[in-house]
Amino acid sequence: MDERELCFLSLSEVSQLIGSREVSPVAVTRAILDRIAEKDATIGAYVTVMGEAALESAREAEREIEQGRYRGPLHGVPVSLKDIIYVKGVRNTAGSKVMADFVPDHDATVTQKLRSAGAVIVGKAQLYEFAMGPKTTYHFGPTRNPWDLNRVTSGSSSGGAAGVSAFLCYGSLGTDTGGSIRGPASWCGVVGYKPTYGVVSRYGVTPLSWCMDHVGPITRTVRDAALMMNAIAGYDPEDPGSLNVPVPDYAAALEGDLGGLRIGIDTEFFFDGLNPEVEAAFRQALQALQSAGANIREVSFPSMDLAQSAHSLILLAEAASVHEERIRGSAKLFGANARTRTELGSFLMATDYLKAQRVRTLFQKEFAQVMKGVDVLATPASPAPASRFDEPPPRADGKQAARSAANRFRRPFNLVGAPAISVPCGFTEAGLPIGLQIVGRPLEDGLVLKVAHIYEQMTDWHRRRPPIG
Amino acid sequence: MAKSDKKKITPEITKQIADVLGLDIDEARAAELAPQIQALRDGIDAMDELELTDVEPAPLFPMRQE
Repeated sequence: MDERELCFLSLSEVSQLIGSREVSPVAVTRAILDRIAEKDATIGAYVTVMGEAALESAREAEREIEQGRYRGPLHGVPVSLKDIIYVKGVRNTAGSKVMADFVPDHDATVTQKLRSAGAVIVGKAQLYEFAMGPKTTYHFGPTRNPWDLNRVTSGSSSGGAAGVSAFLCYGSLGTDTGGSIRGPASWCGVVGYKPTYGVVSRYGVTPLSWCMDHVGPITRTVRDAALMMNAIAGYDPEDPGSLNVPVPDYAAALEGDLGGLRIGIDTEFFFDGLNPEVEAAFRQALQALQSAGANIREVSFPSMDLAQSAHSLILLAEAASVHEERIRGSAKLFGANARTRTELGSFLMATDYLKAQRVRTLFQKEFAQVMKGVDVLATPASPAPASRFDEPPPRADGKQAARSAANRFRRPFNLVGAPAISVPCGFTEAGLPIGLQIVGRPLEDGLVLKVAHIYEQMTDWHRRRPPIG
Repeated sequence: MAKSDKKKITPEITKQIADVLGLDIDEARAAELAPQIQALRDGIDAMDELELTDVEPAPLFPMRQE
């Protein structure tokens, strides 16, 4: 195989070739680094490319594999990390000028876990400043959507999604506080997975909201996401939110069928202001799931609008606490959106925050009640396709800008800590990706991945390549 | 106090609170933030339509297990 073609394989595919010694980790890493050198000036997926360190990791992986010490599916596979996930000795900007020179003295737990699995970390991926949406100031250059360079990727894990979509790595770890993995995945035509809260450690990750931050994979296929989950999941005493529960084999959970599966859809909240092309793709996806044996049931979330408000308040208050010293001492270094949101959070009272947490309690009960009648939920991942850089955000419902409204389909599931995935389910006539979101009960990650995988296997959306060459 | 009786958030109030909080916010910035803070307060008031009397706040880490 031409080494340049290696980049276009999925993580699973390149892993098999490495495991069978048909290609070497060094060749794979060189191919990815060459492609980054060729394309990333256009895409802007990376803040920092760790070329030499990546090659050294690849050489080590090659030596180990030659000696018969194969570590598993991530061994020798190039991946990226959102630039809020610590890598010892590598600057961690969090997308902000305020932290532009911060160099952590330790790895995040997920970084350690990826290293233990033998993964090759090729760089730190772009993000919205401090992982805050719905828009951002890119202090390190813009990240462009590989499907249309005039369009945004969504955020906040912008560089991870763009990098996977543009074949600049085989997988990436992002974070998701209000949809920041699933949003960019849906707009960039790749898979984005937010696991159950507490399943993946947040230790060594710059926080945004302690109670709603999730770390998860962005990949080209659901199987790739499951393989990354196998490497990064597990209890971590360093993370006070970590769950001490058995770690399943997420890849094994993909097998099976959808016979009798109950899928809930809320046609009020999730169809309000929905882009017609997104709605058509979503309905086709539902038909495909039905043809595979699933039953569709109508569900309703009466508190959904107030849950949105609760999410915003909790995020603003916790972000203001996280960045309290920075906003007092360095406000002028913040970009406009991050500064405004941090300042707004500073004006909230303790009673406001606790009221939002009480609404969260109600919504958790409502979610649990709804989920007694269904096994998973299906929703569009975003109400509209990617926006252009140079246009005002399109109105999705007459009230909220599209990029803000995009979050409203995803952030309720951060409030409840539920596993949720975005998987490609079509394209607009203009060639922009559309995502299907599948949501499960907490700790039923395997079922969510299985449903998404079975749907994915019935389609070829994930095989399409963006028009960047 | 009824919602209609509550004082509106003005740039002056915003500036005063910012000074108390030690935030670097001048008059022009206070004028930008005031309507956004008012919108937040309106959203908080809207939550009062829910019956929260016996509802405790969700814990920060709801499923913590040792």
